Amino acid sequence: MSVDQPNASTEPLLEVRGLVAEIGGVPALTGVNLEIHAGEIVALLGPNSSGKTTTLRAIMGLVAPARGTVEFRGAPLAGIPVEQRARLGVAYLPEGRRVFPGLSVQDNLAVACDADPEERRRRIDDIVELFFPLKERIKMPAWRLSGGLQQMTAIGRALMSDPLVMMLDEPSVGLAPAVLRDVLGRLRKVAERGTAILLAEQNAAAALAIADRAYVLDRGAVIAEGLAADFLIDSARQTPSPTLTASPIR
Amino acid sequence: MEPLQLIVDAFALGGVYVLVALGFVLVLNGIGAVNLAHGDLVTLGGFIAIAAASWVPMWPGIVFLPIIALVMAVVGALLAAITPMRRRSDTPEEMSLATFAVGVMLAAALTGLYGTTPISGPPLVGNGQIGLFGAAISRQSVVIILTAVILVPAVHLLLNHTQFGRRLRAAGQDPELARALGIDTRRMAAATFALGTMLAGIAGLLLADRFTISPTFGLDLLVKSYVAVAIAGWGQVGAAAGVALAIALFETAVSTVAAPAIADAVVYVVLLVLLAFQPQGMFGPAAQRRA
Amino acid sequence: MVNAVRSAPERPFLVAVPPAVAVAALLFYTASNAHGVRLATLAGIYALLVIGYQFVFGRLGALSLAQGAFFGLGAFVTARLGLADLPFLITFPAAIALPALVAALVVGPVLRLQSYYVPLVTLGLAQMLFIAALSSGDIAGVPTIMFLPGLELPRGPAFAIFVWVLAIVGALIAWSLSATHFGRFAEVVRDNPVAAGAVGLDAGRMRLQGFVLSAAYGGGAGALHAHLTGVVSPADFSLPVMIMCLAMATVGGRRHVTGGIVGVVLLNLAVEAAGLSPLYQPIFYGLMVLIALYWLPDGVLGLLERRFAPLSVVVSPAPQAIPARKAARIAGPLLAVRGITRRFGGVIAVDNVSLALHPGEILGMIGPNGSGKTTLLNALSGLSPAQTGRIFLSGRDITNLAPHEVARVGLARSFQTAQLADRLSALDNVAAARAALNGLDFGAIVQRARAETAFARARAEAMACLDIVNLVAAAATPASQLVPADRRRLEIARALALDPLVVAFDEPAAGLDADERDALAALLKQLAARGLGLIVVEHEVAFLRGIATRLACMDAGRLIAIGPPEIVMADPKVAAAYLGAGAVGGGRIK
Repeated sequence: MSVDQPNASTEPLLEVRGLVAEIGGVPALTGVNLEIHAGEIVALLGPNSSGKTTTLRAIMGLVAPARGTVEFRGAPLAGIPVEQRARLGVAYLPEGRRVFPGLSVQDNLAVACDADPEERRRRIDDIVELFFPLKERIKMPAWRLSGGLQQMTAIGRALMSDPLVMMLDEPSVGLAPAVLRDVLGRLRKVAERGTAILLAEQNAAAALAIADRAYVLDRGAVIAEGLAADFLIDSARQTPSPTLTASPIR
Repeated sequence: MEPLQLIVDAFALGGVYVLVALGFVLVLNGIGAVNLAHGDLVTLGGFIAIAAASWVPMWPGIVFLPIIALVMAVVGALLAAITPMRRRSDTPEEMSLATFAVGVMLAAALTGLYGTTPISGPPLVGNGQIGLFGAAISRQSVVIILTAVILVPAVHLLLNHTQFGRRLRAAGQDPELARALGIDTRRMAAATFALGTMLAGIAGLLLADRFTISPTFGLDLLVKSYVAVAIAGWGQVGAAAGVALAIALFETAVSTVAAPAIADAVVYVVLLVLLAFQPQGMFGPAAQRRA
Repeated sequence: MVNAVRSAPERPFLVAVPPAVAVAALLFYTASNAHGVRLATLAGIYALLVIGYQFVFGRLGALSLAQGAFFGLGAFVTARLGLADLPFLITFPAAIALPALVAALVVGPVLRLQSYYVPLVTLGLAQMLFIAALSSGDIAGVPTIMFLPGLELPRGPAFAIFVWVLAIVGALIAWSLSATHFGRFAEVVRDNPVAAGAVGLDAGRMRLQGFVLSAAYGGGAGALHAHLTGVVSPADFSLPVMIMCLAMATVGGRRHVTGGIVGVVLLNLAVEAAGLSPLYQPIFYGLMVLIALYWLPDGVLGLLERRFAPLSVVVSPAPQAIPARKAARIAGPLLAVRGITRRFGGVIAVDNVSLALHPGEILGMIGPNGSGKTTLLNALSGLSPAQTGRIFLSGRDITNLAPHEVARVGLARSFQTAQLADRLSALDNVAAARAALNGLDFGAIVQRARAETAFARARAEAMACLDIVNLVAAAATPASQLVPADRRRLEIARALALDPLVVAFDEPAAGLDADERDALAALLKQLAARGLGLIVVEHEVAFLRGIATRLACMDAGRLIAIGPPEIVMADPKVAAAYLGAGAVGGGRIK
C-alpha cells in the first residue's frame, strides 16, 4: 500500500465540490467535497443515511444536486445524462445485487463491455476465473442465482467495462469471506492499472485494508479525511474513529 | 384444393403468425411490457400496402416491402415517443394500457376509413403458381414462408447473440441500471418499437397479399401471438415462433372440418389449462422475481 | 411525534363532493337537453360498470380487458331471460351471477399466477365471448324492467332514477368493502405478491375476489343497458365498451369509487357535447387514456387529493403492544426439519437437510455463496416447497402450506432483498400483517364499526412494531422511499407483527453500520429471550459469533456442520468450504 499521497502532483480525475442534494424533500447531502486521482482507491465510509449512496448517485447523474459541482478530467459533468457519463468512463455498481434478471450470467457481463468480441470473451473468462462458482452457471439466467452469486455477477459486470473511475456501493454485502478477500485483491490490481476506485463500504476494515485514502461522511458532509493507513480502527467495532484522523475537517 | 397446396397455405398462414409473434416478442424483450397495439400495427401495415397499391397500381407488391418496412419503422419510433414508457414510475401495466389505447384508436381509425369487410392487398410477385412435385403452389405462399424462415433466426441472433440485442434486453429489464452502463434507454425504446413495428408491417403486408385483412383482425392476431409467447415461455423467440406456427397449422386443420372459431376456442382452453398447471410456459420464463 | 398516513376513507370531503358536483352537472344537462334522460340513465349504468372495474384495475392494479365482455354477458342473459317473460328479480341476479361465475371459473385459477398473464387471459375470454355473441347475432325487443307481471318500469325519468339508485347502492357496497382485507390491502397484492404472502395475505384469493366482484358489477350494468336499449348486439361485448370503461376509470381516478362516477359523468358529457359518432368514440376514449396516463396519473380525484387533502390530515396512532399468541406450545423442538430436499432442474439446491430449533435458540447459518441457504429458507416459508422431507412448526406439519399460511401459523421471515409493498406507507406494510391476524374479512361489511376498530388497533400494534426497530419516524413514508437499511428494518417489524414462534432472517446485518448492527444483535437476543426461535443466515461471522447459540454451515446444499459456534468454526470442512483456503463451493450440477 502506498504511504505517500498518490499522484499528488497531477490533477484529480474526479473532483466533487460543495455537493448539496435532497431526496424527497429531505436533505441528503449538505456539502460534500472529495477528489480522486487515477490509480487511487478511495474509501467512502460513514454510518447509514450519511450520504454515501447519494454521493455516488449524484456523481453518476442519477440524483440531480441542488448545488455544487462534479468535475471529471477537469470538465463539469452538470447537464450530461447518465448514459453519457458512463460512456465517458464512469462505472457504477449500485447497492443490492442489481443484475439484469432475464440475461444469462454471460450476457450480464458482456453487456457492460464494448470492446471487440475477442477482448470481451477474454475479459469474461478472466471474471469467471475470479468468481469460479459462476463458471458452471454461465448460461443460467441471473434471476435463478443466489443473492451472493448475483452480487458476484454485478461486481464482475463493473470490472468488465475497464472504466477510468469505478464507483462501488457496498460490494461486500452478501459475499462469503473467502470471496470477499478475492474481490478486494482484484480491486487493488485494477487500481494498479490506473483506474480510480471509489468504494462506499459499511465494512470499514475491509475497505481500509485496500484503500489509499478515505473520507468519512456524516449527515451529508465529509467530517474527516486522510490516508487509509492513518485511520485507527477500533477493531471490536470495525469503524474508523474520525477524531483521530490525519487531517481534520476543512 | 390439392393437399400439397393446402399444406403450403397452412405454412404460409403459420409464417404470418410467426412474423406477428416475432415483433411482439421483440418489443416484450425491449420494454419489458406487452405491446397490446401490436395486432393493430399488423393491420395498419396491410392497409398501407393496400393504399399504396391503389396509388401506383402497376408496381408489383414486392416493391412495397422495403417501403412499408421503412414507414412502419417510423410509425414505431413515433409510438415509442407517445407511450409513457421511459418514466421510472411507469409500471408494465401502465405501458400496456397506453399501447392498448393506441391499438384501439388505430383499429377505430382504420374501420372509419375501410369498413370491416375483409379485403385483399396487391399481389406480391404476381398471382402465378409454381409447380412442385406435380402440384401447383401459390408463389405468394412460398414468399411468405421464405420471409419467415429468414427473419426468425435473424431476430433470434439479433436478440441473443449481438451486443445490440443484449443492450436492448438489458434496457427492458432494468432501465436505470442500463443507463448506468451507458445505454441510452430512450433511443433503445425507439429502436425496439421501430423494429417490432417494422416486423408487424411486413407481416401485415404478407397477410394482405395472400389472405385478406380487416381492421377487426388486429385483436385476433394480438391474442394469437400473445398465446404463442405465453405457451412458449416469456420472451423466448424461437419457441414462440414454433408455437405460432403450430397454432396456424392447427387452425387450418380444424377449419377443414369445423368453424374456425372452434379452433380459437380450443387454443384458448389449452392456454388456460397450461397456465393453470405449468405457469411458466413450456420452456420456462425469461425472468421472474426471486425472493 | 406527529406522523401523517394517507388513508382514503377518512376524508369525507373528497368522497362526497366531487361526485355530487358531477351528478349536479349531469342533472343540469338532463334538464336542458332532449336526450338528457337517456344520457343520465346511461351515465348511471356506466358508473356501475366502472365502479366494478376499479376493484380489479384500481385496487389490484391488474389490467383486465374482460370488463366489456362481462357487460355484454350480463346484457345477453337479460335478453334471453327477459324475452322469456321472467321478472327483474330473477333476470337481474342471473345477469350478475353468470359473469361472476365465469370470472371465478375461467379467470380465477389462472390469476393466482403472474400478473403479466392478466391482459392475455382476459382478452382471450373477451374474444371468445365476442365470437360466441357474433354467432347468436342481434337480439331485439328486450323488454324493459318488469318487477311483476303487469308492474313494469317504463323507460324514462323513473327508469333513470332506478338506475341511479342501483348505482349509488353499488357505490356504497364498494365503499363498505373498503373496511375489509380486500379494501385495505389489495395494494399489497398489487405492489408485491411475495410481500402479501409474508404478511399472511392470500394474494390468489384476493385477486379472485376482485375479479368476481368486477364481473358482477359489469354484468349488472349490462343487464340495465339491455333493458334501456331493448337490443343486445355483439357490439356490447366488444372493445369500444372496454376502452370507454378504461378511459372513465383513468380520467376519474382509478383508486376511488367516487373517481369512477366523476370519470363517467365527465366523459359522457364530453362525448355528448361534441356529438361524437360511435365510430369515432373509441379514438376519443383512447386519447383520454393517454392524456390521463401522462398528466393525471391518479385521475381527477388524485389531483384534487393532492390539492385539497395534504398528508398532514391524519395523525398516526399511539403504539399499542401486541397481545401474545394464544397457541399452546408443545414439548419438543419449536421447528423440526426432517430430511428436506429441493431440486431445480438438475441442480440440487437443498440436499437432505435436517435440523431442530428450540425456543430461545439463535441458529446462525453460514456457507459459501450458492450453497442453498436462501433456498432452505424458501422451503421453510413455503415459497418453494420442499420436494421430499417434512417440516414441523410446534408439532404441526407445515411442509405443504402456502406462504401466507406459514406466516399465519407463526413462521415469519425477512428477505435478502426486502420484499415490501412499495407504494404503501411503512406503517401499513406492518399493519397488513396485524390485520391478517386480527381478521377483517367480509364480515367487516356488516360490522363496519368493529372493523374500523380492528383496523385502528392493527395500526396501533404496527406502530409498536415500528417502535421496536426504531422506525416510528418513518411510519408515513412510502416503503419505496426508504433506504435499504430501513427497508430491512421494516421487514423485521413486519415479521414481529405476525407474533411469530420462529423467525428466519436472510442476511439481516447486510448493509447495516456498526451501531445498527449492535442494535440488531441486541434485538435478536431480546427476541430469543422471549422464547422465539431464530434462524439467522449471515456472512458476517463476527456478528453471528456474538449472538448465535449454535452455528450451522451449508455447502453444496448439504448441512456439513452444526453445533456450538467455536466447534463449527474450528471444523476443517467449514474452513475449507467457507472461511478461506480459497475454496468456494456451489450447488452440484448433474
